[in-house]
Amino acid sequence: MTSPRSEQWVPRLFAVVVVLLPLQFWFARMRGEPYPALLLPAFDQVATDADGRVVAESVAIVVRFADGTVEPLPLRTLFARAPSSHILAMAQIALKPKPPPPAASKHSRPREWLEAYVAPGLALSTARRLDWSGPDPETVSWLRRRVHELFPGRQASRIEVEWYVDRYAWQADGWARQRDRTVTLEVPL
Amino acid sequence: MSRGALPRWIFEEYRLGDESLAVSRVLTALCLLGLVYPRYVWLASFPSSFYAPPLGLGILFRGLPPLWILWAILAAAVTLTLALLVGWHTRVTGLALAAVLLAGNTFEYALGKINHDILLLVVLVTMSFSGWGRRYSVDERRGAGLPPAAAWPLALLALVVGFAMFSAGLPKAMAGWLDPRTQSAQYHLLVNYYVLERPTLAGRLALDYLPTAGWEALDWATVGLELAFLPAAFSRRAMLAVCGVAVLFHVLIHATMEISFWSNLLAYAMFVDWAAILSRARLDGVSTGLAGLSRTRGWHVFAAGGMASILYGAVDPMLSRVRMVVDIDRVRFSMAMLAAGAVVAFAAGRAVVERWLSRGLDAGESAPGLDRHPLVLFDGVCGMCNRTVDFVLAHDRGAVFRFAALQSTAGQAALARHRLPPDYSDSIVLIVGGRYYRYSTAALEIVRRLGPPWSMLWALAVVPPPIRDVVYDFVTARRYRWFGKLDQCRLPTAAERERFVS
Repeated sequence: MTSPRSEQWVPRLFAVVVVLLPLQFWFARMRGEPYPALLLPAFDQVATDADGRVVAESVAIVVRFADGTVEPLPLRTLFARAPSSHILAMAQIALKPKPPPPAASKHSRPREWLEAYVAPGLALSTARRLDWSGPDPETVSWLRRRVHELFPGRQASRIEVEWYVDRYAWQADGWARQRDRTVTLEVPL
Repeated sequence: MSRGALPRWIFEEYRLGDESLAVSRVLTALCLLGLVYPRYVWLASFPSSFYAPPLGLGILFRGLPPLWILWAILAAAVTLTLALLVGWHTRVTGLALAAVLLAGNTFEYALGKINHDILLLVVLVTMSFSGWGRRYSVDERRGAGLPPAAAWPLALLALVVGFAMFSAGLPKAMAGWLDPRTQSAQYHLLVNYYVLERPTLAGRLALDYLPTAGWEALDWATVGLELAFLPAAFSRRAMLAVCGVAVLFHVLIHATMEISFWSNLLAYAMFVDWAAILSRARLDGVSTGLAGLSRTRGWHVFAAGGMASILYGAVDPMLSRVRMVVDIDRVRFSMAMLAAGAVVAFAAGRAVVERWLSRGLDAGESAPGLDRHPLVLFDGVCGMCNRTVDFVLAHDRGAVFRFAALQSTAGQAALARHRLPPDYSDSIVLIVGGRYYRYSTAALEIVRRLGPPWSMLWALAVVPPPIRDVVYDFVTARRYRWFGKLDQCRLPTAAERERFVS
């Protein structure tokens, strides 16, 4: 049974939803995906190079110790507390040097006011995703603690985060990978 | 007054019974308790330098909240989920749970990755208005103030699911998924397999053996399926068909890439008429078990919520050790999929086998009251059958069974209703609702309803009916010789009279 009242407001609710859904889709395409948003992942990035090889980014981490030894540190181990869905994205945020930002661009005054008083996370997010200026001191001390936990009793001297572009091509005996290092972050511990 | 097509779709197309909606509610809560928690407390292991929120509520904060707030969010979510499970103030509980999960997700998705489980929140919000707390719930026991059941929330959910899938399909089509020169599904599988280190056996086989044409067909099928949801939303039957295909699609994705879209599967589950499926699969015990939820008290919810929160919080750090070796979240999802698959296979297999082998089992019209009171038809002149009736009367503590001799007027009418011959006397017959059971299946269905310890004999149902019926036939063929034959049908005593249908 539906009440006469719901007969009136429910169709209006549907009308609002029908208008809002395309709007937020358009907003996400223009400004990046917000949260929350009624969107599902598009998986629309399909990267191939001129030779048709599949191109993907990957990362490898090693720890160098004072005695000269080197240990690999898988991302899954370093970020063991985080769900697997997050670990690559977290590494990209905190452990990947980005190209220098273009010539200093000044935000508009309303945006500056917004970032200063209402939405501090907006400036932080932009800085960490785009305007890289070296690893955050908080990240460095976290890395130091984490390496100490994972390699107790050993003196680590530094951690190296190596970023690669991998190119995969199908050959007669299976998939072949060509790995090119793009950037390395060295963090003294 | 007849409605136009649009109002009819909004208010009538997705109408489901209270039982089906209640099963959806229980599924939602169990999915959260089994697959989703513990969440949020892991964030306290990372510094705020990882905090990079997307546009949304997250930009209002400078960094991650302290551990006690994350604990509070987890405890509130777990307690509200338990309240949802038992249907305690169901509408408010569902909406509050959506709000709490939104708060937790806002922080969790501020670390560079949005997990696309938004449909869970949509399910909670829309279904809170559907009346999914009207059955198998504390609200049902309390009675007063139950919100009416409504079909429009399911239509709204269908519309949102349709659009959400469209939002995934359209960018794919625009980005070249349909271009025969690129094999996008293959690209994503490669990245999952090598870069994200999810080396599945199915993924390996696909990468090594699927030809280019197969990958291209997968690209087209993916885009086609995702775009099909939106038009399908305007018909429940079409939506169910598309959801069914999508379930296979998600199983394939999980097997090859270990990407588990559990919130999508949960959203599809809302459109299913669970009551019909449980009835068809003869899983009456599920309904009986769910009915027990209504006996829960409010303080049970809070006590269990507190204990479960502590348990989840304690388990969370241990999971990190497991995560270094295996991806525990994927393992949990795989186990849930296997369990669900096993239940479906069991129910489907049992229904098919019983339909084949139960010698004329058929659905007919049920007589009034027989859903609540199964009717036992017995041979009134058979000594063994009369002793069986005495046994059932003595152990039927809930007085649920009604009885009629096959030779009585009521017995003859019941036989006719189920198209059995009037001189039928091969076995006892049990009529439950529109179904009837005969031979050993009838005997087992009777003991099953007697409660423990007799109901434990129901375990014998695993023996295929043809085998157990050999034993049954052997005894019944000799029943007059062994237990005697009466000259006339048994007459109920005064105390038994209300249990016998005349």
